[in-house]
Amino acid sequence: MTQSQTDKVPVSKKIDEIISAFTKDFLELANHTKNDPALASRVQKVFISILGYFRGLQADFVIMEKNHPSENRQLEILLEEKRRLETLYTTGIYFLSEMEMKKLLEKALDTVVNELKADEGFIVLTDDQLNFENIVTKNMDDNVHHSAKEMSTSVIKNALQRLKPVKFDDLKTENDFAQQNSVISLGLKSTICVPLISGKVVFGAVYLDRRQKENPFTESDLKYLISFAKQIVKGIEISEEIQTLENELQSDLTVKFKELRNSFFSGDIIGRSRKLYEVLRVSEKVSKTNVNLLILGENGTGKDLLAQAIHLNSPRKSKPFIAINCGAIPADLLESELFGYESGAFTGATKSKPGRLELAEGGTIFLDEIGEMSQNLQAKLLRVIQTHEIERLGSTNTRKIDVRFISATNKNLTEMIENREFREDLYYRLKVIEIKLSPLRERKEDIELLVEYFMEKYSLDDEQHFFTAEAMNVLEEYGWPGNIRELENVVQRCIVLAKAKEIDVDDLPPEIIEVRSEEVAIKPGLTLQEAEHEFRKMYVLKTLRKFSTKSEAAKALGVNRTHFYKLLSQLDIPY
Amino acid sequence: MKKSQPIDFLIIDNNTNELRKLRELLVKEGYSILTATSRSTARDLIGKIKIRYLLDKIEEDSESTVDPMNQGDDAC
Repeated sequence: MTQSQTDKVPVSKKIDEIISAFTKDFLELANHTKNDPALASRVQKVFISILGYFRGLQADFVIMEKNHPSENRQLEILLEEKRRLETLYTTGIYFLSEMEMKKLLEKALDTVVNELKADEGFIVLTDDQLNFENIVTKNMDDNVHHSAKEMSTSVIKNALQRLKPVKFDDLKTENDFAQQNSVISLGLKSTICVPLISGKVVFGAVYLDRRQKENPFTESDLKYLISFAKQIVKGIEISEEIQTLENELQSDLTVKFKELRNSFFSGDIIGRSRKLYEVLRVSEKVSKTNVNLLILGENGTGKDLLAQAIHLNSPRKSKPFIAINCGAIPADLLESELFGYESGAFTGATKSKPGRLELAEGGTIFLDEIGEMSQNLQAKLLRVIQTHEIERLGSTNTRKIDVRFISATNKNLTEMIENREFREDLYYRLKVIEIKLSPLRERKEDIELLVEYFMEKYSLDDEQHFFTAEAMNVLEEYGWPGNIRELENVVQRCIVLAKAKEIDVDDLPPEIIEVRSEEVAIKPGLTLQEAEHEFRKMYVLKTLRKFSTKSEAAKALGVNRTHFYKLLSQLDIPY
Repeated sequence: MKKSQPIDFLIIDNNTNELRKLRELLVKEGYSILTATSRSTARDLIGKIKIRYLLDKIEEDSESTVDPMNQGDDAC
């Protein structure tokens, strides 16, 4: 036996060992004195006397040990207290990071039942009238559910009415509970119950019971449960706060979008991202005015749709919306298309024709790809914007026009101005207000809605297709250099080639999948900070899709729920 | 399937790297494109979607062709 092991042996046991050794010595001595009866009698008397003394000593130590635990025992108690405090601390952190109430309660009950070695437990949440609203149970046997519930209900109601913790060491001796079925049939002996209270608000109660008579709950167990209950209350409060915040934020953007869509008709512009909301918000404001607009954005971002929506929401909506693609028409033809011509103005001009500017009278003219316009035509357009007058080719008559100009380009016009490819004065005339449409890769949160929209558009009436979560991940990770137009074509292709209603990764164009496996779809030319932002957004969206709840997604990302919501806000991901 | 604008290009190429480069080039310029890595897939697409031009690179690059397509309802 080592020194430390020896230290742990109680004194009463040590006396047993001494008596045992002493008895052995006495028997040897008695053996030596068997021929001398007088001496043997004296030795026997001494032995009995010493034995009596040791027995008395031993009895005293037993009483002392019972009344005063040894230092080792005290150390054990302290260590147990420390361990419990650690559990309390770690579960407290867990509760703060758990966003879903049910999971929080399940985890709390699981921990406290194990920690306090209870046979079963409940956590009940109550309404204002203290009626039970939500019950989480642990180790509850379905067969005895009713009677046990009845008994625990009585204990819980007792605690809730008094708004104080309750502890019953032996229910059979309690008048209120002794005759209850569960006390008799289940042999329930000891229970503790602590109300879950914050200020004057009662959330419910946590209840535990044990069936072994020899091991009832102690005061220390009750103190632990009281501390634990405080952690649960904190978790419930934060969970409710987050839920309220989540609902407010979600409904806030959703409501704002709904209101905006009511005041600014834009049914064909699909999305729910914050970036799109900002674009539509500005568009709604400028649609009521006559100012010239310049819409910037890559090919396929829907510049033409936005221009049309602005016209349809303007006071000019009953007048024509004339769109002309400056890049699709040769420079010579563009001039006659815009300004019109008189008969004989050039070879083949057999009769007069009004230009698009004239046709747009009272309405809006949309000059797409304005960056493709020739310098010569830029000068003429500038004069039209300044004077509101046009002259048909081959005519000397000027005509007054009332037209609103909306232009669009995917070119960098400021760079073109520096290179003397675009007139600076025209640029400032066109961009009284500038609206920038974000590329699809910067508003990945809109991809799902767009996919649904295009599936609705291209699916046969009797066959509704859907993309698997994995396929949707691929679509969200792809960089979409062709933006929404490219996405539309991909969805259309998938529907035509789909062998089943379910469209999986294998049904996508292979070159899109390969991009995904070879590189992260983040466009080059970004700063490290911008690239990091893009990656974080993509990764969070992917994780959100993988898990059914935000709580699980937050846990998988290793962040608590407060941090997670901050992250969603920073990354412009709708809640 | 509801009526839609014709697709500008259908590119057929069994080299997905080449296909990807061509896709990126054309979509950035604003063209609508579809891709296929086999002619049978291309046939399935042509049967259901109106396509303006077919770019077939499935044999050798030197034999790459750009064929203007019929734009009627029974195109291709």
